[in-house]
Amino acid sequence: MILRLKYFGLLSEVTGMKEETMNLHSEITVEALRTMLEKKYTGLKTKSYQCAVDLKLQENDYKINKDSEIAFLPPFAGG
Amino acid sequence: MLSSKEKYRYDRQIKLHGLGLDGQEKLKNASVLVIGAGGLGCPVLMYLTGAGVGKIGIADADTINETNLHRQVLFSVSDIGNNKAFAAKDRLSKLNPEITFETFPKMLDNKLALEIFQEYEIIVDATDNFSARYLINDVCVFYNKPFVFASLFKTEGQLSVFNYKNGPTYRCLFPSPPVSSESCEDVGVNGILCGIIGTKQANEVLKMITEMGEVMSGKLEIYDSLTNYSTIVLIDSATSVFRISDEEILAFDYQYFCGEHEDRFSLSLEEFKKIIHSDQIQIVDIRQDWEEPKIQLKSKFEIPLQNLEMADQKLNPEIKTVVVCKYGNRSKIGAEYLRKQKKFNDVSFLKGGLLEWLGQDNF
Repeated sequence: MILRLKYFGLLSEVTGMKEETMNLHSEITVEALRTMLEKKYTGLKTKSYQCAVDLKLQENDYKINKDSEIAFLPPFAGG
Repeated sequence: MLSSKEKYRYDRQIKLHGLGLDGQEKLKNASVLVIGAGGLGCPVLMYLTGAGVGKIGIADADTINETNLHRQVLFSVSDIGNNKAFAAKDRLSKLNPEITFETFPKMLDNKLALEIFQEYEIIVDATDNFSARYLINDVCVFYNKPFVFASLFKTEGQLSVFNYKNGPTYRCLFPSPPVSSESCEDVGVNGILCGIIGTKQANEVLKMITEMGEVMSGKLEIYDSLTNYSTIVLIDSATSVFRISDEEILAFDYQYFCGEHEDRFSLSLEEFKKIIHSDQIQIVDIRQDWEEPKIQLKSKFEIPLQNLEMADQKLNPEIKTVVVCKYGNRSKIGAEYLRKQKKFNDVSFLKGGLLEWLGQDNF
């Protein structure tokens, strides 16, 4: 399945990009996806962010099992 | 009741289908408290004043600085040095003399929040730090008031309406703050983004009061000013919404919770200037050897940050100590180290750093 990953706020600075596509061969939980990305981009390990799957915020145990758009949302402080 | 003067002033929005005289009446009877009269606060305040919100509270302890003017467009050059809440009221009263403004020119602490939020129907979070945001959330949940949230990061903004008719709260979205991260970078912001997002906040307030359109409750918008693209994400209330009593709020250390507790050991530039020539002081410059310009003060010590463990050989832990660096970020770490590891009695760091004191031209 094709996952379109979108990085917001300082996460795009950690990964070096605002979005990328990933092709996975089996379903994956949000938590497992985080772990996978943290291995790829170690800077993510110390960052705090929520995950939205197809524009809906989901918990760590949510299973992604089809082509989806995943948004990684860190909190912003500024104002 | 609207006077004929008011019907004339607001004619162009009264004509709007869905607003009408009814809506204008609701605006007149509404009360909105805006926390922060900075980047977000300025546009919020301007448009709520224009629209005729009857009572507007303005809370901000900051004074106006020239570096604010690229984005805090409510102010002028002649306002530099003045308190933002006062300056805002002054300017806004000229736009609309019919509005009742209340100013709170001090830091929003737990006690003040619990006191003043009661007097308003809607709160607007136009702050710039996490501890204020969690405080606002908890007090609004306690009083069952909705609040319009927005936040910024460089060229992106977030917007949502929390605690609105049993909708999710800020803590439902972000249950805990991020771990505070130190950086020497001066984080910039697109000034115009402040205008875009702050105006969206004002628009949400308008919709809530007049009951026009759809309020951004249960939704988080992330706006990218570089692409003009908005991502809107649905959010649910937590299974158990975080709710604490007023006593628990009073006892809650929000700065500690958000890792901002070392900020309380900062010294402002004014305070710094008052004490630097004293005999009973130590100014510790923790920059690297190669960093310029060197500071010319009689009580100064140059000890790079990584050598601070030998600090007690050169410094007296009993006397007043101020740690300095270029921006203020490293000196915060240095001050924390001296306080916690070396048990220095009275140590602070210069907020804004040597850059604020000596000026950009000297670097």
